[in-house]
Amino acid sequence: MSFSTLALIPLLPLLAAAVIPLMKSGKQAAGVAIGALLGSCGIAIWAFYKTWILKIVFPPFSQNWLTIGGTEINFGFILDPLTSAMAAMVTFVGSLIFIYSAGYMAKDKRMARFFCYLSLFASGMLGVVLANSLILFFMCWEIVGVASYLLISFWNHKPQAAAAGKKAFIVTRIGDMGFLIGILLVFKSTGTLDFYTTENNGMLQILPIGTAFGFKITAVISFLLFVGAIGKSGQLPLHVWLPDAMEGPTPVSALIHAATMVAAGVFLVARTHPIFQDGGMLPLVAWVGAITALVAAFIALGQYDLKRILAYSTVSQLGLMMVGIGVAGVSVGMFHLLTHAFFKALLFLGAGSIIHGCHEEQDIRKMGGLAKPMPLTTIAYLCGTLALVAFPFTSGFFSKDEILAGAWANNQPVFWIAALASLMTAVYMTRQCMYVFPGVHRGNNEPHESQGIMTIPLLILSIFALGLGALVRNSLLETLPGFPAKHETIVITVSIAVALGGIALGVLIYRGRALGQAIDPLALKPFEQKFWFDELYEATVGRLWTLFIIFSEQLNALLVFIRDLTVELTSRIGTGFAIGGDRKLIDSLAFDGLCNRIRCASRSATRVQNGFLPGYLRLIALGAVLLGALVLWTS
Amino acid sequence: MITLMTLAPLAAAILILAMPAQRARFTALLGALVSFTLTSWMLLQFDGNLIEVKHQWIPDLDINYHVGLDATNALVLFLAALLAPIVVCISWKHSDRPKTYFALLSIQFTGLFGTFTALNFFHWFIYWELALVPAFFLIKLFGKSEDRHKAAINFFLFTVLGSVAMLLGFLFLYQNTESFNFIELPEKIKSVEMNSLIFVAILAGLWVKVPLAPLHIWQAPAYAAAPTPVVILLTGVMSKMGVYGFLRLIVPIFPEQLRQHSEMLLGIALLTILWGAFLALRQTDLKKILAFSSLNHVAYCVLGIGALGIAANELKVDAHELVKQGIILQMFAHGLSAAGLFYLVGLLEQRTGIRNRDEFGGLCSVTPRFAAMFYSLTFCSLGLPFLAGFAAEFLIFSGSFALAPKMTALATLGLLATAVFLLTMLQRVFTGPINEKYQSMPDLTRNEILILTPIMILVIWAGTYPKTWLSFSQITP
Amino acid sequence: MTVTLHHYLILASVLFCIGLLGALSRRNAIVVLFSVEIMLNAANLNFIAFWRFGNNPELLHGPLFTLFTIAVAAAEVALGLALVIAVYRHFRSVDLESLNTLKEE
Repeated sequence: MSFSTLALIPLLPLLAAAVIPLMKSGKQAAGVAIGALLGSCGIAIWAFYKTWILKIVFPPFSQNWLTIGGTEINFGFILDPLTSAMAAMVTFVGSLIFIYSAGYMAKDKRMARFFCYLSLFASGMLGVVLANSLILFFMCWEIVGVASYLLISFWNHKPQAAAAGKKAFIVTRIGDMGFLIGILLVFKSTGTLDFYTTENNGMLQILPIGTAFGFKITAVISFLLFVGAIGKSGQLPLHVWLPDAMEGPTPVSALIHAATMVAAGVFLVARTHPIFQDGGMLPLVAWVGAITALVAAFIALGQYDLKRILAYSTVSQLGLMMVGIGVAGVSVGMFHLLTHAFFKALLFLGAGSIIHGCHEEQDIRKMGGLAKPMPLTTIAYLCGTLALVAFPFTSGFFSKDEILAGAWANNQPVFWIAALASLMTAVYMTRQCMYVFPGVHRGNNEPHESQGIMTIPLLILSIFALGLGALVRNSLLETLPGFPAKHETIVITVSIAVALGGIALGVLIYRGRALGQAIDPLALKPFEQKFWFDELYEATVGRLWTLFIIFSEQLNALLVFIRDLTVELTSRIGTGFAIGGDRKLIDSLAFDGLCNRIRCASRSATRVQNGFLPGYLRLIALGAVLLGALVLWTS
Repeated sequence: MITLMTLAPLAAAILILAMPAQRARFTALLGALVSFTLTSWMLLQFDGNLIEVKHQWIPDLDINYHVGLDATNALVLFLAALLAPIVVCISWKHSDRPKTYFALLSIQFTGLFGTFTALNFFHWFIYWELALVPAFFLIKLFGKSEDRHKAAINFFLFTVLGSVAMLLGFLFLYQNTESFNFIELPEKIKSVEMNSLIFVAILAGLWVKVPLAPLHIWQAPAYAAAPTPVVILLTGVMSKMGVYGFLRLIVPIFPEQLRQHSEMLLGIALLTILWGAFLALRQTDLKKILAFSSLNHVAYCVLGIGALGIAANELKVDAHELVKQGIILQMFAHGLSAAGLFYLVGLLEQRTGIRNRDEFGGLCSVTPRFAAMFYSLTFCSLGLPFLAGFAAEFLIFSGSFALAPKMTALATLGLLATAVFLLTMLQRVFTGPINEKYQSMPDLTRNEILILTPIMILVIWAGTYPKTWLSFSQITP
Repeated sequence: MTVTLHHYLILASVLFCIGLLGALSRRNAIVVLFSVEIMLNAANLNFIAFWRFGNNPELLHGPLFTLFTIAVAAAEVALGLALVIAVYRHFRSVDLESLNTLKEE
C-alpha cells in the first residue's frame, strides 16, 4: 500500500469533480462520479482488509509541501485502523448514496453540477480521513465545508436554501476559527503539523508542553480543536446550522449532514485524542455531547418536518458520539459513528424516497398511510428506526450500549442524561413513524414507490443497519484505542428499557389519534420553537454584530467628517491668509494704501489749479510778496 | 534587462502619442508584453540572489541608477508585469480618447515596475510618484461616477501628503547616513544615531499607500470611481507598493524602530482588518465591498510586518521567515484574486449598468460560467484552502501567531467577517429568484474567459503548490 | 531839490504797484499784458537807478540787464499777443475769468 495508491482514494473523486464540468449530460456525470467513488471504495476496502484483517501496521507517509526557512510544513497520509475504517465507511456509504442520487436527481437539469459538487465533497472528506497532518486535515475540512455550502444551496433559486447554505458555512466557520487558532498553537509549540512521523516527532507523539494564555497548553489546544469540532458536528451552541441545512437535496442530507461531514468533528476529536487526554478536556467533550444529545432530542419531538426531525436526531446522536469519546475513548465513539453513519444514511435516503413518493411533501402531518403504497421504503425505514432507537441486537443497540456503559463507569450524571436522550430518541422516532406509515394518507397526491435505483441502496443499507453492530463490535473495540467499560446489569437494563419503553410510550400516545388535525401532545412550544436558539442568537450575537458594523461605519463617517473638516479648515485658513494677509495687509495697507494716499494728496493739491487765471496771478503776487518778506527777514 | 523591462511601457507611451489613435492599444499591449516576457525570462534564471545593474549618476550625492531583482521584489514584480498586459486587454474596447488613456496606462506601468526594481532612493521616489500621477488622471478623466473628481483629488492629496512625509524622512536619513542606497543603508544605519521621527515620516508615506486605518478613507471612493482596469492596477499593484515599501524599507533599515513600534503596528493592522471587514458588511455597492475587502486583506500583510518587529526567542518555528514569505505570497494572491474579482464586477457593471448588490438575483442560473469564476475567486479571497489566499494567510498567521498570539487570534475574526460579507454578496447577486431584468444577460465570452484563465491557473497553482512561487522569494542555498 | 536814488526807487515801486494792481484786478487779457509790461519797466527803472547811483558806473551791468529785459519783453509781448489772439479766436473772448480750461479735471 504505497503513498500514491493511498492518495488515489481522495484523488479519484477529485479527478471526477474536475472532469464533470466538461460534460453536458447528467447521466454521464453521474456515471463518472459513481465510477470514481467505487474505485476509491475498492482501494479503501482493500486498505481496510490489510489493516484490520491482516493487521499490518503501515508507517505514516509525509510529503513536504512547503519549506520556509528552517520550518517544514508537510502533507501526509496515514493508514491506521481508524483511518481505514472511516475511509471504507465513507466510500461505501458514499457510493450507495451516489447511486441513489442518480435516481433522485434524474429530473434535475443541473444534475452534472450536483455530481461535481458531490465528488468534490467526497474528495475533501476522504482527505480529512486520510490526512496525516493537521494542515492537510484543516484544508480538506474547509473543502468539505465549501462543498457542503454549495450543496445546501444547490437549489439556490429558493432564497431559504441560499440562506441556509450561508448560515451553515458561517456557523461552521466560527468553529473553524477556533480550530485554526488551535493549529497555529500546535505549530508554535511543536514546530510540526504532522500527526505521526516515522521519527516519532509528530505532534501526537511529542505532545506539546508548557502553558499558553495561562493554561496548560494541551488543554488550550484541545479546547480550540474542540471548538472546531463543535462547529462541524453541530454540537451546542453551534448546532443551529444543521437543521437549516436540510434545505439541500435529500441525498446531500444523507451523505453530508448525517453520515460523513458532521461526523468529521467527532473524527477530529478521535484523531487528536492523545492531546485531549493530556489536556484533560475529555469530560468537557462528554458534557457538551450529553447536553447536546438531550436538547436536540427534545427539539426533535416538536418538529413536523420529516427531515428536520432527522436533523435534530443527527445532532443528538453526534452528541452521544462525543459522550462516547469523552467517557470511553476513541473506539466507543467511533463505533457509534460508524453504525450511525449507516442507519442515519438509511433513514435520510428513506426520507428522500418518502418525500419523492409524496411529491416533495415534507410535512409529516400531511403524510400517513404510506406503508401500503411504499412497502420497500417502509421496511427499510423501519430498520433504520430500530437501529436508531437502539432496539436490542440492532447495530445502534451495541454501540449505544458501549457509550452508556462507559458513562456509567466514568461519569454518572452524563449517563443519566444520555439515557434520557435515548428515551426521547425512541419516543420521537416512534412519533414520526406513527405519523408517516399507518392509517390513511392525508396528503393531496397519491404516493408511489420509488424506482429501483433508489430502493436497492436502501435495502443494502438496511442490512448493515441491522447487522453491522454485532459483526464489528469485538474487532473494533480491540483494534481502536479506548477503554470500554464492563457492562453492569443496570446499564443493559436501562439501555433496553429506554428503547422499548420509548417505543411503547410513543405508540401509546399516538395510537388512535387523529394525527395532523389534533394538537400534538408532545410538540410543546419550546420544542417546536427549538428552544429559541435562533432568536437568542439574533438578539445577542446578531445585535452585537450589527452594533459593530454600525460602530465601524459611524467611525468611518467620523473620519470622513474629520477629513472634510480639515479640508474646510485648510481652505478657510488659506482664504484667511489670502484676504487678511494678502489683500488687507499687503495690498490695501502697504502698497495700495500708499498709492491711494498720494493720489488723495495730489487731488487736494490740484484743487488750487482751478483754471482761474487771475487767481494764479494773485498767487504769484502773494508768492512774490512772501519772497520779498523772506528776503527782508533774513537780511 | 531590468531597465529595458521598466522602460518598455514608457517607450510605448511616447510612441502612442506619436501614432494614430487606433494603434494605441496595440502599442500599449506590445509594451506591456515586452515587460512581461522579460520579467518571466529573468525569473526563470533567478535563484534568489540579487541581480543588479548600477550606473553612476551623481556619485557625489550617492545618487546612482541602481536597479535589481532579489527575493523581496521578484514575485511582486512578476505580479505587476502579469497584470499589465491583462489590464491592457481588459481595456481593449476602450474608445474614449484612446491615445491619452493608453499612454497614461503605459506610463503607470513604468512607474510601477520602476518602484519595484529601483534600489536607489532617488529614482525610486521618482517612479513612486510616477505611478501616482497617471492614476489620478485616469480616475479623473475616465472614471464613470459623478464623484470621480472628488475621489481623484482625495486620492491624490492623501498619497501626496504621505509621499512628502516620506521624502522628508529620506532627506533626513540622507543627512545622517549620506546614502540613498537601499542595499547599503541597513549597514550604514547601524553606526548612526537615529531620530525616530524619520521612521515615522517614512511610515506615514507607506501608511497612506497601503492604506491602513485611519488613513484609508480615500480608498473606497477612489476604487468605486475609477474605471475597472485602473482599479485592478490600484488594488492589484499599487496597494502592494505600500507593503513592498514596508518590506524594502522599514524591515531592513529600521529594525530597532520596528521593534519599538511593533505593538502599534499590530494594533493598527488589527484595527484595519476588522474595520475593513465590518465596513464591507454594510456596503451594497459591489466595488466598495471589494474595496473594503482589499483593505482588510492587505492589512494582513501589515499584521505580519508588525509581528516581524518582535524578536523570535526559542521558537520551534522559523517565525520571521514564515511571516515574510507569507506577506510576499499574500501580495501575490491578493493581487490576483482582487484583480479577477474587480474585473468580473466591471463586466457585470458593463452588462447591466449597475453594481448594487441588492438589485441582482439568481444570476447563478443565468450566467453559470460567470458565477463559477466569481465563486472561485471569492473563495480564494475568503481563504479557502487549495486556493492562493489560504496558503498566504496561513503562512502569515502561523508566523505572527508564534510572535504575537493574542493579536493574531483576534485577527482571525477578520476571516470570519470576510466570510460573512463575501457570502452575503454571493447570496444577493447569484442566488434567489431570477431578476427579470437581467434574465438575458450574456455569459462570459471566450475572450473574457481567456483573460481570466491565467489568473485562475495561478490562483490554484499558488494555492496547491506554493513552493514554485515561494522559490522566487527565498534564497536557494 | 536833487533827485536821489530814493525818488527813482519810489517811482519804480509806484509803477510796480500800478502794474501789479492792473495785473491782478483787470479781466482783460491785453490789459493784464500791459500791466505786466509796466511791472517789467518798473524793474528796468530799478536796474538803471541802481547802476547810475552804484559804486561802479563804468561797468555797464544795469543797461545790459535792461536791454535784455526789453528785448525779452518785446518777444514776450509778441508771443503773448499772439496767444491772446489765438485764445480770442477759440473762445471769442479775452476775459480771463471765463478762461478756466487750464484746471485739472
